[in-house]
Amino acid sequence: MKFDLRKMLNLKSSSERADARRERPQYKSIDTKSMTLVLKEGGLTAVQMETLQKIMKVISMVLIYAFLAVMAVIILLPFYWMIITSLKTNTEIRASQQTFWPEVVMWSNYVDVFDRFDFATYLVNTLVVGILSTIGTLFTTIFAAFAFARLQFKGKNFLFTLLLATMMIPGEMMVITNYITVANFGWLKDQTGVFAAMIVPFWISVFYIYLLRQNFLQIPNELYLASKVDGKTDWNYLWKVMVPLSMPTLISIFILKLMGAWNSFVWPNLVADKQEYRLITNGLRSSFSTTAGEPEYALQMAATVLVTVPLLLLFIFFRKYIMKGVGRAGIKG
Amino acid sequence: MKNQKSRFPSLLVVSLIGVLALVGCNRSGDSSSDTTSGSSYSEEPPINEYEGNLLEHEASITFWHTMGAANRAVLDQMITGFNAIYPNITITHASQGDYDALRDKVSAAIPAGTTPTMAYCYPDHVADYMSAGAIQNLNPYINSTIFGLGLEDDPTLAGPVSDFIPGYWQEGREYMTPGTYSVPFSKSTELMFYNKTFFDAHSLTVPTSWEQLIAVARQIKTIDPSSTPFGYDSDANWFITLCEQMGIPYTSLNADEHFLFNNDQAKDMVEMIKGWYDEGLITTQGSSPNNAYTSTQFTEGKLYMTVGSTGGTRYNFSTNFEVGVAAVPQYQGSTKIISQGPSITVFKRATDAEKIAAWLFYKWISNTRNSAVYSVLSGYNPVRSSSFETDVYTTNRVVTPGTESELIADVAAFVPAIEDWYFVSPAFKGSSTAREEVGGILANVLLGLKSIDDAFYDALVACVFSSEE
Repeated sequence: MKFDLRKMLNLKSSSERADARRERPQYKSIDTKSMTLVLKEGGLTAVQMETLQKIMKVISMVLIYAFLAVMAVIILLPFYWMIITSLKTNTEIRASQQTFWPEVVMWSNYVDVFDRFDFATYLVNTLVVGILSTIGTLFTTIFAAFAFARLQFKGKNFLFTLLLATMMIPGEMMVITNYITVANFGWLKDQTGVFAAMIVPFWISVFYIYLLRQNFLQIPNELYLASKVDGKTDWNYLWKVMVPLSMPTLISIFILKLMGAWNSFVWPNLVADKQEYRLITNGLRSSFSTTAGEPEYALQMAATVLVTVPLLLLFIFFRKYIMKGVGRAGIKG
Repeated sequence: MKNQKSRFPSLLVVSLIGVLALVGCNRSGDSSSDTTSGSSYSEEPPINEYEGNLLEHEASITFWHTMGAANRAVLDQMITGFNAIYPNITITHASQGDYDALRDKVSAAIPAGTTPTMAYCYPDHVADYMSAGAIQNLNPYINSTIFGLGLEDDPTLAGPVSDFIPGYWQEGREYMTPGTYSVPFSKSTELMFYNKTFFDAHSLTVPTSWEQLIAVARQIKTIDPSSTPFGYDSDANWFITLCEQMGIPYTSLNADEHFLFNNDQAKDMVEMIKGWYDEGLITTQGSSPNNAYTSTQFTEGKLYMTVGSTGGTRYNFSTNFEVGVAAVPQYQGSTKIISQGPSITVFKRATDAEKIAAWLFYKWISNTRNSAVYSVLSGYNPVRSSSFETDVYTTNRVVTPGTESELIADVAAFVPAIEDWYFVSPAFKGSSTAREEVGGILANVLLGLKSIDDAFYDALVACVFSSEE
């Protein structure tokens, strides 16, 4: 059987095409300039639709920005309140009608703060504790995450479940037991001991181990096998391949941990029982009170403004890394 | 499927370990309380051992408090004076933040065995510490013939117990166990501040009873209808003070029925206050818009009389009018005002030498002169009657006319007249909740948020729960 491909595809032969050309009606020349093409959909012309779309876009943008503005105000209001409180007199702070701008702007509060607040001691203490606990955490996190992501050993999943289970215990529950432990170690007697008590218990973070393990798991097996072929040890592979590849996560762990140490309050407040061992947060709370024991909020807020600035700058300059690292593991920190 | 099978036993083991760990915690808790009541120290100070040689025993003591920088400087001066008498005693002291922070730290230090030798305290804190067996009964020290109070030639110059203001001293004895478990250091009370300029201009009489107060308030209301004539800063203190003045049961040390405030008399009392509130005659901090202090409303000219703590005297000062000082109004000739402010407690765990050293130091900082010095500094009241007579308290006080120091001096001159009026409520586990809750009753009823019966019932439930935790 012979197939006529042309027929099957419904194609016309060249003679048929010539006939068709001849049969085409001859149009008069029309003045296309006076013609309008009107396309309608849902009873609207293209122009109307375009306008409508523009309006809708504007409305949605307005709504989005209004929402963002409201949220921004909610987030910024405490900061604003901190700043205006730092510039008010104590009488105005206690007034029954609160004002949104100080009646008398008390720049002198900032001068008084420098007389009353031992910035240097608190800053040095906070940095020492913050940096040492962060570096320690990075090491424990890298090793633990490597073991759970890469090594094969008996009871690996069990151990990891055990670690994750500890995340269910709220930190507050461990305060007293940790306190008894560090007290029994004899750490609460001198400055070195108190610093150790503020640093060592926070060297392990299950959340960061989990975060980094997820990151390590994304590194292809082939790289590991290739490095094995090259005769690299696990140690070398960890430091030469895994750590550099996970740098964004490690940086965000570094920053988050440092911020955590900077903001920590309950534990340092408990273990540092002398003024000169205190961290910045505890110093802020305990440095400003009248002789009758009433808190002096204006000075407290002025000092808080000065202390918040470095943290704010840290976040502004490093937010790219923070977002990148946290985003990568698919988890919000 | 295989995965699920292997996970189940591991989860089981995890929970088992968790349970075992909790059991372990419980055991270690038991053992620590054993050591607290063990024999590393004695209930009775070894008096014979120390007879005549208080100077020979080296001791290092720690004092935790909540003092600000200026107060710490004065304490340092007192320590220098003390070390001139007892160079063998080393004292370190540190502020632990506010009173809540101090209580939290001590509460953690008790099981860990790291309590200081002595600390600032409020009675309800001591009641908590006592339930852990951590507080030293000071009776043997107070009554000692070698280092007790009121001895002749005492280098710490500490007069007898009778020199202490009775209400302040009594506070340390209002606990579940007989004995003295805290001793007064820096105390305050409540007074009524009134707009003297306004009172003089309209020839009003300063009220001394609640009946007179309401009569005066009605007069003020006719003069200035927009004002609220009277405010009481602390809702809780008003409730408790009125109960005490009117003889209405509030709380008791009887463990079977700590909370007595849910009774008809107390409800009638709250109904009476509600009537005054609805008439626009009175307000409290809890029922004011924005929870504004009544002292603030007073200085803003919105109130003409306010009751507040003597510790916060300066908040009642105004440059717009003259402020007068009077006693809190009384009920049918009663003489009762509340006693407040920190005391000092000594911990059991310290060694005998340390506890004696702490006691000697307390005697020094609470002697006639030092109590007056601290009172002038802080605006709190001295704890000894004899302090009122000292030049530090009277003539040498620095007063700048037209400033708050003038009002503080007026208060200082006024308080000796009421030194026998102080009362304290019993302290036990849950007593601070009772305080908060009765304050809540007043605020809720005045604002019309709860009916009187509901407010009392809810408060009682909260108290019972807190004491059974």
